[in-house]
Amino acid sequence: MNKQQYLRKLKRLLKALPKQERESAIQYYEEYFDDAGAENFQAVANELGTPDEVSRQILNNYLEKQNNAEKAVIPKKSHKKALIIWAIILTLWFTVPVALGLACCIIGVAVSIASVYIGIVAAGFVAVACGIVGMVASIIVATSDFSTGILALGLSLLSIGVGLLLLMLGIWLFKITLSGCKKLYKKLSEKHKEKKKDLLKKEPEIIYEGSFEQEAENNEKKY
Amino acid sequence: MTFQLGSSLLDACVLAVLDNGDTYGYYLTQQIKTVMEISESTLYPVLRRLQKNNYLITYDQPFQGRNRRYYSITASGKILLEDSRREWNDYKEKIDTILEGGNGE
Repeated sequence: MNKQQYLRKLKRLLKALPKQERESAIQYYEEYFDDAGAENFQAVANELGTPDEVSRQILNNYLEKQNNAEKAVIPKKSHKKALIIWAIILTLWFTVPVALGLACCIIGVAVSIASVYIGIVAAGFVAVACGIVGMVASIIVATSDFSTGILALGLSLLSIGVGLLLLMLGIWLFKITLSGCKKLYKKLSEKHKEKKKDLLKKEPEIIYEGSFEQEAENNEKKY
Repeated sequence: MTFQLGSSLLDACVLAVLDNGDTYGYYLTQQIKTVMEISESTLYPVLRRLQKNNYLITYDQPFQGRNRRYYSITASGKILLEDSRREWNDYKEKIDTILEGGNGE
């Protein structure tokens, strides 16, 4: 390997660095070889180590510097936190009235549906009750006027029948609504869980591999 | 060398060489190598770090048809060097107290 090949390989290995960092390193080593003298290239290259080793040392140092820089930036993060809290307050400020309105709407609809059901059930009760009273009354009427009594009896039985049907309808509607609510609740809670799972799946990305740290340790020992 | 060399001591040595006058990478490495066993590739990251922290600056000067990058110590580099010298003396005295058999008392 001659100087050009050595430097070209080093350049390729330093691809991960910003251009300015890379150029600076290449310039340093090119100069270094020049100052050592062309005839000493092989000796100097042996002293320096392979392009692999040299590049790792540069990259490690750059990463260390980056980490230190990130540590210094921490105060900015608390600034971000404050922003997030403000955003939450603002969104609550605007969404709470809307949410309250929606809740009132839902409660209103639920109450009106319930009242319809209660009405149906009540009507059924009344019809059955009327039928029973009517039966008693029609039996009394039948003793004096038989045909009118029978007619009244028939009407009373009809009333009882319709009342029973209404009662059944009311209970059935109530059951259906209840199970529907349950299903809706289940679906919503499942969706919520899935969202939580998705969040848990997203693990923080690893910035660099552990081997770099080991390398850094090795370099410390070399000093 | 039996004793391990910390990076802050190496920084101080580099700054001490530069305190005697501006110089370039190859010469600097040879200077440090006369007193320490370091790999030749150790010094570039050190110089780059010192430059980033404003302890030294660089400038290019033409030499035999190419550029040679010179390193020059800055004011804050001189302050760091003074601090390092003081700390090194404290450290040296403390170690001597133990190694030389308590002549520090």
